[in-house]
Amino acid sequence: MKIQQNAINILERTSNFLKSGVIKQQPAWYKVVGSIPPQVDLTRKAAVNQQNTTNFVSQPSTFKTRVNPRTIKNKLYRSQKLEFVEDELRALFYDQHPWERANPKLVVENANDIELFKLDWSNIRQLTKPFDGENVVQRTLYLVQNENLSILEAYDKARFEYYQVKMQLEAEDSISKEEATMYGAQFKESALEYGFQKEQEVIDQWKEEAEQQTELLQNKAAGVNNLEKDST
Amino acid sequence: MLRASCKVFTRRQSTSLLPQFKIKDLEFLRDKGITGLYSSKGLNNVWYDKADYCRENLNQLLQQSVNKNALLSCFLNKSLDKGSIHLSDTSDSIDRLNQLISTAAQSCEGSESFTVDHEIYNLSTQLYNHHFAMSSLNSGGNESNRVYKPDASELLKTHPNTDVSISLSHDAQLLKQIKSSFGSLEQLKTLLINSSLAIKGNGFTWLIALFSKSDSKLFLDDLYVVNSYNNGTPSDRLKNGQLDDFRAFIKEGNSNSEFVKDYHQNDSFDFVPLLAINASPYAYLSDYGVFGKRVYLENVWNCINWPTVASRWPKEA
Repeated sequence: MKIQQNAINILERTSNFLKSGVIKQQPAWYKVVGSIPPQVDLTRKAAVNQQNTTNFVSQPSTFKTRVNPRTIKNKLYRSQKLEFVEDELRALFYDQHPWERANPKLVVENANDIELFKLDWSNIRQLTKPFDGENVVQRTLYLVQNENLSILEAYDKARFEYYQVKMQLEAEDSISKEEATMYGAQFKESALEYGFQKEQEVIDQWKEEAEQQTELLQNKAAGVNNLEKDST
Repeated sequence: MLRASCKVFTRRQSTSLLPQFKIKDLEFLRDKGITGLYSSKGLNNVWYDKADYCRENLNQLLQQSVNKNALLSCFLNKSLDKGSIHLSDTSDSIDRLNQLISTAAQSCEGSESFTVDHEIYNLSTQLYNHHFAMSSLNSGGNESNRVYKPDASELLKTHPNTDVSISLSHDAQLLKQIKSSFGSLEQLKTLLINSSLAIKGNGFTWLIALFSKSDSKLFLDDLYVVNSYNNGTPSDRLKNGQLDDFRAFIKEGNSNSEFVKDYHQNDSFDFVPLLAINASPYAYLSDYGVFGKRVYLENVWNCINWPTVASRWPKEA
């Protein structure tokens, strides 16, 4: 439906009609509407979008409450940069042994918290803590404090102890499995492998059907081409 | 067969068909033990009592067996085919025991149920394993070893394996081969000890040389560290138990039989055991306690008689 603008310029149109003699007499509302003209444009217009849609930048939904430390001029009010030697050791260890990050880890809250139990780092292995790079860090600090070694010597010592325990644990893993197999245990596929198997069955079925259909389509196309050739 | 024998035999005095299985160096140590490794009680547990037990029960079972004649002929015949395991150990009785193992394995082959022959096979391999492990040890022991029962904190300790040395000359073939197979003595020690430490039940850890055969000459393939569990032996011909398991496995439609066929017919390899370590709990419990397996294994390493181990290298190679 066409947008109706007529109601708003009623005064203008009536004046024109009066001038040209279409209407002889002024309507009763003429002076009233003349003194109080309709000011609202009744047509609905689409709101103009302020944002540039081609270069859209999302606005942050939260406000920054923290003051940028660089803008604070007085040093006293600046937050301290926290530096721990543990962080450096941890970074060094995981930089040298990136695959140690791939070890399965329990991500339950507090599960890896070394302060849950009072741990004695006179040995690198702990009863209550999973064995990982953190052991090397803590053991290094223990060696520095108790055996009067320099930090790099202590780190090397802890590192070699780590290797040793790791080798032992890996041997234990594989040999336990071997021993169980020799005693007659049979390890069936895992839930993940089972899932893959089921998926593969469907994919195989699909592939078979797809091949049939492709063949059918190709035959059809060939048939049509032959017909066209025959007709010409 | 790898499964444990769970049958208990009543001991009966009978005229023995079997020779005594003695180890020359250990003959007079029953009351003394081995310095730095076993007390007399520990040595009795791990060798004398074990050997007596196996021998007595073998005696009885040999008479019950259907294949009695074939089995006994291993001990009666004068000429002896040396069988699959090369033993430079000159002990004649052990060569004959070895023959018994092969014969028992052959007579077990194909039988579905557990027979007397299986039991004979189990006992003879058990005896063979113990004999092999004990004869690898230095009867003089090692004075610097300490025999003690550590507490639970031992489980968390680490033992650095640095500067390991053995009593072999530098140009010995075995030492060279160890270095090319494992990298270094330290690595061999770590692997041996970790392997036997990980055995939870009864078992042995072996150092094995694998040779490929051609024209009655042996060519070394590589050295390996292998575990055997319960009464298993690391020989390539005696795969009766494994084959039985495999057959059951295939019956369920799990695998193709081609592999087993190849495996069975493949006779071009020869496994030569060089060293065995007894990792069973009874080998260390009485002297080292529940937590002492690691200490025990370290002590065993220091007591290995390396010249004997080197002498097991086959002469054809």
